[in-house]
Amino acid sequence: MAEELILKGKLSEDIVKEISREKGEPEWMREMRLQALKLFNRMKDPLWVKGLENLKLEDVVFYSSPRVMARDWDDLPEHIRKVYEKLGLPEQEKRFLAGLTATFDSENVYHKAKELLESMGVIMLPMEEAVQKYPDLVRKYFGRVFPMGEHRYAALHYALWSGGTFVYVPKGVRVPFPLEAFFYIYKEEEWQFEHTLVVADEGSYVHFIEACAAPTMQTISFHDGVVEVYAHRNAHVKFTTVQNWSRDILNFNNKRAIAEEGAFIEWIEGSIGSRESYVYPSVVLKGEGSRTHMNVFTLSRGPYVKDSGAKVFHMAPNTKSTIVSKSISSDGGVSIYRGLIRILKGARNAVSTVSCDSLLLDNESEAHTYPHAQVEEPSAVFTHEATTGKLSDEQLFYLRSRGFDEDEAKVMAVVGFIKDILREMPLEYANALKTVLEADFSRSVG
Amino acid sequence: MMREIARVIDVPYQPYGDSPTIKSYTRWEEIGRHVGRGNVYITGALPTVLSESELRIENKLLREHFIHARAYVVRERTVTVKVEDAAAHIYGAPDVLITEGSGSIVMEGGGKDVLHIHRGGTVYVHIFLRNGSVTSIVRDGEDSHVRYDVEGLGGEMGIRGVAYGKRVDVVTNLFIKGGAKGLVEYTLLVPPGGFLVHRGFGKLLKGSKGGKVHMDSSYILAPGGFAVSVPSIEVYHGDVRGASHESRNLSLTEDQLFYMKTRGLSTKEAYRLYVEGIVKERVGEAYHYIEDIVETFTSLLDV
Repeated sequence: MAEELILKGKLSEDIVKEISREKGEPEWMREMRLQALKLFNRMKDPLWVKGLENLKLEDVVFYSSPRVMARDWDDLPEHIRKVYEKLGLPEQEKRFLAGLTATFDSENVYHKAKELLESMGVIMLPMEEAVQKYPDLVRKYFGRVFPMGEHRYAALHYALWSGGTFVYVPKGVRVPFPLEAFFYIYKEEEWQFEHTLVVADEGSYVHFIEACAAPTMQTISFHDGVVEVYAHRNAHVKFTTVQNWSRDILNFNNKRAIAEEGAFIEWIEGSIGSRESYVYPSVVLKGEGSRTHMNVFTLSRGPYVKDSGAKVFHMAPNTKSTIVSKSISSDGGVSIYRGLIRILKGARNAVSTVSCDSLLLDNESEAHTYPHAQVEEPSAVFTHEATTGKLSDEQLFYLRSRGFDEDEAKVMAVVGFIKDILREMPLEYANALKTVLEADFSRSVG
Repeated sequence: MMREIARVIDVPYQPYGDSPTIKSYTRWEEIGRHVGRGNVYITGALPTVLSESELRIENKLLREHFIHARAYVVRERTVTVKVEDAAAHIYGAPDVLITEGSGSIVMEGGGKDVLHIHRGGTVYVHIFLRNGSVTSIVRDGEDSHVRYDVEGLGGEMGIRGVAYGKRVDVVTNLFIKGGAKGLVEYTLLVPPGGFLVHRGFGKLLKGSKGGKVHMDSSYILAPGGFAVSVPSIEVYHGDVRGASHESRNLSLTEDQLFYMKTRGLSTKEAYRLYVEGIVKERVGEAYHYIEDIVETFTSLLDV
């Protein structure tokens, strides 16, 4: 096995070139990285982000590769395999996944696409491998859905991206089982920049799941990923995220999908862990009759901030969007919903419905909601409603009168509050999320 | 003397017997009649910075009348009104504030209900009240920025209003402390080519136990117009009665229009009726203005 490679120090052109060289990338990708670095150095921090100002671009592990790529769990080094076994990944893969890519620090270390996928013509590869094997296909979409100029940390991502998955589903193919990418940060001071690109061709269907975890660390790490989804005519893409980073991770994830005529995008965003989190999945409804349904769930426990939301751009007639956001704050946690609905002129009969509910479990916690509606089309139907409230004494009293103790009653109320989100998730993930919440809240609530 | 006052405030003098009843034309109903003619305004400073020399009022009785005036019309001026003692009504905020033209007006008042009418022009208006409410009408606004801050410790307070014009930015902020209850209801009437923004915060601050806030932001959008609605809420206390907001497009739908037309109304009449209903709901108290607002807006709709 080759020796592990770690690139640490001050962010520079040399580091970017070294990453590109290590991956044996084509010229266009190297140029893209360098262009992104220049952009990053020129741009200022986004005004809406708080908490990243203390990030130092020195003494950071920008790239760390165990230099291993296994197609079988047994081929992984023991310390890596043990991590995934503890997380139950091999078992999950066996039971209900059609393909899995596992990213460890900066690089993919395990990848397996079941034969079924190959027989259907589905391409599922680690991102680096896809760049090598399908350069034209990757180049057509890479960085076109979420461009590097969007903000400073998008530029940083494009300069340093490493790991992640590429998926292409051919015309009319419906992938019967979910595909998954799992990200794990193992090293102290390690920053992760994985890139996920899902392309669904005409009339196809795919469900992609991404999940992440990290151990408790001494220092703060930064996760700056990008997810790009392109749904061609009448395609249906379901994208589920279960984010459960440790409290030492600043999570800044950039997600966007483009939907062509009649396409349907579903986002399910579950944000449980991390110290501070900035995630706003967004959809560009580009084609007539395209639709999106977005479910966003955030849990902010302890003195941490969850800044999440959803954005939709209606650019064509008869487009439809539904956003449901649920957030829970406890133990001094801060939940923020930041959303945007943009309905352009000509998006006739567009319909957008936004609903966000926040639940406060104690007096120290906070919940903020910042919805933006920008509408140019008079025939568009737009409604937004939001409520913030506390767990009512009546609810608790009712449950206690049915024989539940106070903790059980609170857990039931919390799980009931997010039942709409749980219903949208694969059963295994919904149960896992429910178990985490039950364990979490039975200890902390009250 | 009466002629002198009339000259200074530029209001046609209307004698009422022997009594120098300034109230007769500083009552809102009286002012309302003159507003459309554009010839009612105060060129002097507002009461807290009032000096005799500026207004040249020699008669003390008349000056008292003026200070007690219930309506101020401020045109092409930059003025500041500060109220140190909310209970001191003599220097309290006016019931009616009419602003017009360029300049900026900063008004800090006590517990009051204020009707504010902005009649267009480039202006920055900032009204800060404690435990009060604002009814707002922004008419023919062009590059207008209007901001209301209402802070409450208890009781009920609110900001209601409508705005229309070319480029208008209305900010409505409610700061709730204690168990106060706050409500914002604002509607933008966006004509063709208009760019109107309504934004604001409903904040339940630390210590707002039992507090409640609701923000309702809506708009009627004409083709070619652009509406932006940002009704934000921030809750800094867990034990609140609730915080909520909503935002809607209230434009007349094809089904609604069809229904009204089957009842014998023309398209124009249907629009008038519909807009009037919405405007009345928001600023019913300022009934003098409703007809004018509805007529002006619907005439721009090209229906």
